[in-house]
Amino acid sequence: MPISIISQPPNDSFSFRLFYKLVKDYADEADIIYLWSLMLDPKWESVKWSPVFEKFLPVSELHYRKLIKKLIKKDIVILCIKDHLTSGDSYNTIPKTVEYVSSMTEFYSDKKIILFTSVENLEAYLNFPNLYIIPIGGDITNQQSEYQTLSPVIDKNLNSSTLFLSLNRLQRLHRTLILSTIYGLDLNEKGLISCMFQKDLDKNFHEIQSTGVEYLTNGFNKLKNNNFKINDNEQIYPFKGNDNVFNFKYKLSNYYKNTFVEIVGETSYFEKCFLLTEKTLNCFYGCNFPIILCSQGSINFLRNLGVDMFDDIIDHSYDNEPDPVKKIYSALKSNERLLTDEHYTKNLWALNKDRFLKNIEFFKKDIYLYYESRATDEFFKIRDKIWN
Amino acid sequence: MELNYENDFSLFLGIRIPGQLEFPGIIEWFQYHEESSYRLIIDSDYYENNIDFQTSKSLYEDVKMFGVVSNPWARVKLIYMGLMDLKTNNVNEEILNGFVLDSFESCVLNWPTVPVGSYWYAPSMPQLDWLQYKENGNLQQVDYIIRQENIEEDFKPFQNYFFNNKSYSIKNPQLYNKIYDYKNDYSSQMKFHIEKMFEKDIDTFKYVF
Repeated sequence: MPISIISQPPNDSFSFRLFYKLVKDYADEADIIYLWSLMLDPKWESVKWSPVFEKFLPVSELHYRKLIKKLIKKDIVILCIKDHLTSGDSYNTIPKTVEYVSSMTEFYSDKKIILFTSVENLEAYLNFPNLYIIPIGGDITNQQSEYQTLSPVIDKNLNSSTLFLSLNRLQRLHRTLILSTIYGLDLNEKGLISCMFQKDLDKNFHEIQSTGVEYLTNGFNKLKNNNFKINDNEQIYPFKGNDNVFNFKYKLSNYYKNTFVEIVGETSYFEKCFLLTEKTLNCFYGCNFPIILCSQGSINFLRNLGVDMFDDIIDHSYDNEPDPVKKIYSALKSNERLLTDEHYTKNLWALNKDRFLKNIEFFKKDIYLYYESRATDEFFKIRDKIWN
Repeated sequence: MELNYENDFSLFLGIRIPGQLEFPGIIEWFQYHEESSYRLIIDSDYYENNIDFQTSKSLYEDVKMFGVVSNPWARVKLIYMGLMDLKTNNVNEEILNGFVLDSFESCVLNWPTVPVGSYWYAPSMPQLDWLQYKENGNLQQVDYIIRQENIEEDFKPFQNYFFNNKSYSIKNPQLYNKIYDYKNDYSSQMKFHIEKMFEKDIDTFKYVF
């Protein structure tokens, strides 16, 4: 009986193989469905023209939601939703896709649903007796084989005039907040900063105004006419979708060579469940001190995995801050010296070089083992509960 | 080739041998037909690392697998054109260092016989070696081998499998004709060189220059 692969994002080999290995023997007893989360999100709704078949193909989230309904027939459903569950364009903390899964679980209250997910802490939203959640690791596991052969940027330009990196490709509200804070607090001088959505900044105008915070509105106004030091084209993946290793090797590594700290604007921010991605991974391969702005508790999650978060150097207390605006302020203000004092930061970086390499060892191997064994243990526990 | 008219809800996986013009078109066919679209595994690692059948069996037990093979002289021409594109676009791909790209002739006569860069295979590896291996003396082979030159016919088992009457046709006839119009590009020395290197494919699939 079938396993249905509704859609796969690029570079999901690790997640898909793990999912397939765990569930393939249960195809007679359960409906098994794997799909990319974007297919369920109304934000990405579109209708795609197929040049091959010369007709419009429906790809709206309603199409996929209906399809899932059509595929669910058995009493047990094993569903894998790969990638983030965020819309990221407002202060709304409950993503639309989470609302969908919630309604679906309620609708199928007579069925048992095993949900494999790329996000952590999904339990914060979904707590149903018939729903079993298994996290399988975020997009940080994408392109596993390529990342495992990637060389870290450990030889830096100690004469560089820049200190920190802030990369901002896809427009998300929290990235606009981060940039507005950097410029509003005049912390930009030593920054190597990109803002690939500069022409669309006005889309966030009302959200920034609504905070009523002066440094944010000042910073936001500076962004609009700013000449950013990094002017990458949005087409940073010339050969295949989301080829982050290619981008790292041929583009980002030059930025990492000239910086020592990174302010990472992760994919998740406002919501309680979070996805760790290549943005975090690149920061470690780039051997920069990490200031990672992601959902609450994500720094603690990495620390518990065994990653050295440089707690003796970076003040990560912002990780516990629930207010999204205050959190960014706290992250930047409490680490201001790292972002501005050239001698201090470069000296610290040189003294702690070995620690970056130790983290790389973890990211090359242990992180995959961790995600695999956690998902396997969880699945077996749930399997024993359901099938007994 | 084995015909299977029964849709048993198997999953399918394509073994991607480098230098196959029509492989992406086949993937597209699967994706755009509802009967087959949910049955196809797209494992990006296969595109990046050209994983072979033997490794695939350990990763995807019980999945039906297929591969595309093509005339070695046309295939070598296509690979050369691809490498020249990379060179022209100044893409610093490590693969370029393994080839002599002064001319088509020097490229063919110096075709690498050892793995290039971090790739696991040598460019001289016969196509068949991607699609079969021996285990305890028994030959193990992918479920479907599609000869690019005979694609309409060789594709029929898929149509039958999925009860789909939409036949497959070459996606880019202009490029297809260009790479198959290779006779004048080869000297007899070059022709012979490829013949020796890909003897296994030529014998198995009865390719002629």
